[in-house]
Amino acid sequence: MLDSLIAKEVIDYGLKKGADFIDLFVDQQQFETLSVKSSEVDNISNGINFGIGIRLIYGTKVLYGYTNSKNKKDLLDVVDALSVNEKVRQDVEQSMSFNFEKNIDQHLVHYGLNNNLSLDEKIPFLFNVDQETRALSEKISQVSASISQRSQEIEIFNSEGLHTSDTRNYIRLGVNAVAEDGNKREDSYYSPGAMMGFEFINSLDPKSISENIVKEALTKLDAIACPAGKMPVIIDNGFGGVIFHEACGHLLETTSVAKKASVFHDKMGEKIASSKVSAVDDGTLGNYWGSINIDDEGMATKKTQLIKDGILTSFMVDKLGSMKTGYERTGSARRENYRYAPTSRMRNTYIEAGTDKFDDMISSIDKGIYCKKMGGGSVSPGTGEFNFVANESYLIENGKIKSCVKGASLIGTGPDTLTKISMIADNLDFSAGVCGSVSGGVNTTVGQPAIKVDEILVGGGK
Amino acid sequence: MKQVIDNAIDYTLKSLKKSKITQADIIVSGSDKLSLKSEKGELSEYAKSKTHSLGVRIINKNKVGISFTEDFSDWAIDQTINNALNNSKFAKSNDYISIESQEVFNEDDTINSSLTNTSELIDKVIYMEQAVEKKDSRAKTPPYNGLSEVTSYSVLANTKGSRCSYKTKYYSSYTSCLLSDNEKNSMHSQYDVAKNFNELNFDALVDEVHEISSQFLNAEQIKSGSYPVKFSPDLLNTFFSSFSSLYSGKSVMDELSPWRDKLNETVTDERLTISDISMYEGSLSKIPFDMEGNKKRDIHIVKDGKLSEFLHNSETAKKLEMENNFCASRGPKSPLSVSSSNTVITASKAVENLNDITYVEILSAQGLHSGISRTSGNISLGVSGRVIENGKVKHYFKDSTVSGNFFQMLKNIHTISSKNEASRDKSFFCPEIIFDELTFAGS
Repeated sequence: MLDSLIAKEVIDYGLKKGADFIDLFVDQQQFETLSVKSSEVDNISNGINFGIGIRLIYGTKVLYGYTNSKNKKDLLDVVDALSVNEKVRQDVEQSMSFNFEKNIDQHLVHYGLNNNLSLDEKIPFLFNVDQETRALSEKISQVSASISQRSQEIEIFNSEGLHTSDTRNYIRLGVNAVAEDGNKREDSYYSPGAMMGFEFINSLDPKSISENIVKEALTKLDAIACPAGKMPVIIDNGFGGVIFHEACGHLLETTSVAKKASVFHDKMGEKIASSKVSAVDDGTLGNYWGSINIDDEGMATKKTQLIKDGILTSFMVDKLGSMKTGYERTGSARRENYRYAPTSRMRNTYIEAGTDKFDDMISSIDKGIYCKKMGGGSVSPGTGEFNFVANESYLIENGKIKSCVKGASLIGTGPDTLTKISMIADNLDFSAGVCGSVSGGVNTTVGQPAIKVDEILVGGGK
Repeated sequence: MKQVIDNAIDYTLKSLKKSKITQADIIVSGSDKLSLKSEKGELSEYAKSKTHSLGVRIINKNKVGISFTEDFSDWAIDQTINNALNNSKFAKSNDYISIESQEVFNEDDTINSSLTNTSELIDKVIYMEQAVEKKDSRAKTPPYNGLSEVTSYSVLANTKGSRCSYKTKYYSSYTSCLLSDNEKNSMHSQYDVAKNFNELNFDALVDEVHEISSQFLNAEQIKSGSYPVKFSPDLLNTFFSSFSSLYSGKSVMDELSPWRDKLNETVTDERLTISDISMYEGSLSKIPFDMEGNKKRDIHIVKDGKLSEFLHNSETAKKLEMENNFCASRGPKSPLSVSSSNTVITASKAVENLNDITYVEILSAQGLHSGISRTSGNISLGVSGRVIENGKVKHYFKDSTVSGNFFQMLKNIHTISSKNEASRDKSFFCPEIIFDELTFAGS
C-alpha cells in the first residue's frame, strides 16, 4: 500500500531527528454494515478508512502521529511535528534495508469483503432471524439484527528492516429482541463473531438463535429482584470469561505492569490464583474472533500461558513493555487502527477446562447465584476492583437452580476472586467481544468453563 | 485544511449532479489533535494527528444509501457515491425522507479560544504527575495522566444548497491518584475540560483525585440497605444519555421508547422540567444547526413532569405526524438519527439546601456501559461515595453496589435543592436531586 522507498525515506528522516526506533503502520479497513429492524432493512452502509501511523521511540518515550495521506511530504510533516522538541542526532544513522516477509495466513477465509457476496445473498439471513424470532412469541415487540463485516489490510515498516503485511477479515452478527408484557420490558442479545467471511453467517442456524434469545427475554420478564450480599456464585462458560478478561487479564498486560499500576506487577512466579486455575491468551486459534497472524508490530503471534496451576507464568508483552520490563515480547501488540500506537493487549483469553461437572457445582451450593449470561463490566487496573452485571441469572437454593433474578451484579477484586475459585467445569466455551483500552477497541475472545467462586459480593434489588 | 474540505465537498456535489442525483447530503468531519502523557517525570507519549472523513447520504427513488471514505481523492469520492447508490437499491422504500434545508451557517467557535504553545502543555502534564506524587508518600506514579488540545470541525452540505460549518477547540486534562498502603490500594481518576487552556485548573484536579483516593483507601463497604441517593452531575449525565431513547423520536418510530405513548402524560416528578438548549450559556458546545442543516431551537422535553415533545428530525416528525424540532444527528459514517445538544434540568419547589436530610452521595461508579439496561430501565452498578448527614460528610464507602430502576427514579424524587451543578463536559446542567431510596449491597 505504501511505496517502500517512501517508507525508507520517512524512517531515515526520523532517525536523523534523533529517534532510536521508528515504525510505520499502514492501515486500510473496509467496512460493511447491514441491519434489519421492524422487519425492514434499516441501514446499509459501507466505507473505507485509510491512514498511516508513525511511531518514534526515544528511549522509552513514544511520539505518535498519524495522517490520512500516503504522500511523502505529509508523512515527513508528521515526523517534523512529532520531533519538534527533540534534539537532532549528529551521528546520523540510516535504517536497515527492508526484508519483506509475507506471513502465512493461518485463518482461511472464503467470503471476506474483498471476495464479496452481493447484498442479495446476505440480507435474507437477517430477515430469517427476524421472522423466526417474532414467530415464537407475541410478547416480542421489536427485533433488530445486523451483520458487520470488516477487512483490514496492514503493512508495517520499521527501522530494524522489518517490512511485512497481513490481511484480516472479521464478521459479526448482532441480534436483539425486546419482549414486553404490560409495563414490563426486557431484552436479550446475541452477538457471535469470527475471523472469517460470510461463510461464518452461513454456518449459523437462525432458528436456534431465535429460540435462545426469545427464551432469555421472556424468562427475564418474570424475574424477581436479586438478593444482595456475599454468597457463592457459579459463573457459566463462554462469556463468563469476561470477568477474568477484565479483572485479571488487563492486569497482566505490560501496559499496566510496566507502570507498576497492576497489583500483579511484582508477582511473576508467585501463586496468584487457586491451584485449580490455569489461564491462556492465545492469538493463534484458527478463525477465532481475537486471532491474528502477526501483531501490530509485525511479530508472529503466539500462545501465551499466563497462569499455570495458580502460578503467574507470563505477562502479555509488546515492544515498549519489553523494553521497560525486560520480559520477552509475546506477539501481543495491538491497536484498533492507525489512530492508536500499539500496546500490549489480549487476543483470545480463557481459563482452561477443569474436571468438575456442572451439575456437581450447582448441587454444592445451598444458597447462591448462577450467572448464566454475563453482561459487561469494568475494572480499575491499579486496584483490581471490578464490577460486572449478569444479564441472565438465577437463584440457587438447596443445590437446585430456581427463579430467574434481575439486577444481579458482581463486585470484587481480581486477585481476591482468583483465590476463591474452588471448582472448574469441563465445558470450556468462548465468546466474542470488543475490548476498549488505551489503544482503542480491538476484537478479543473471552472464554472459560463454568466456575464456582466461593464468595463474592452480589448487588441486587432486595 | 479548510481548502481540502471545501474542495472535497465541491467535487462531491459536482459528481452527484453529474450522476443526476438530486437528493443527497454530505457530511465531513475532522480534527487536529495533540495529546500528551507523562510517566515518571518525563513525557511518555506525544501524539499528533490530523484526520478527516466524508460521508454521503443519497436518496434515490425514496430509498436511502450511505457510504463513507477517509480518502478525499476524486476516485475515492466517486466510489463512495457509487457505493451509496448501490446500497440504496436494497433499502426499504421510505416516504418520509427528503433533503429540504437551504440554510447556510458558518460558525467558528475557535475565535475566542486561547493560544498556547506545546512546551506549556508538556510542562503542565508533567506538573500534574509530579504534583500527585508530591501530595502523598503513599502515591504511586499516576496510571493515567495526560492532556490534550483538540480542534474539531464538521461541515454539512446538500444538493438543495445548504452549507453549514462548525469549528471548535477545547483542552482537556486528566489525572489519577493511586495510593498503596500495606495491602490496601485505592485509586481515583478525574478529568477537566475547557475552551481555553488557562481555564483548566490543574491544582484543583490534583487535590480532588488525592483527596478522594485518600478517603477511599481506608473506606469500608456501605451497610446494606436502602438510602436516598444523590448522583454526581457526570453520573446523572450518563444516565440521561443512556436513556435518551425515552424521548428520542427515532426510538418512538422504532417502537423502542418506553415513553412512546406517553405524550402529555406525567412521566417524571412534577417538579422537573427537562429541556434541550443548544446555545445554553456555559455549555462547551454551541452548534447552531442540526445535521440536516436546520437552525436549532430550544425544546422542552418534559415540562412540570409531563412529556411535552420528543426530539425529532425531518423523517421522525413526518412519520409520527409531529412537528420537526430540528434535532437531526448524523456523522459521516452513520445514518440519520436524533440527539440532544445540552440537557438542562430545572425544578420548581426546590429547597435552599440539603442540610436537613441524610443521603448517600455517589462519587464514582463502575460498570456504567453494562450495568444500565436501556430496555428495562434497571441499573446495577459498583459504586463508591460518601454518606452525608446534616450537610456534613459522615463517612466514605467503597466496593458496594447500588440497584434501582431509572424510569421509577425519575418519578420518585425525595428532595431538590436550588443549587445548580454542571457535568465536567459542560453539556448537562441540573439542580441537586436526591432520589428516593435505592438499594445498596455492601457489608
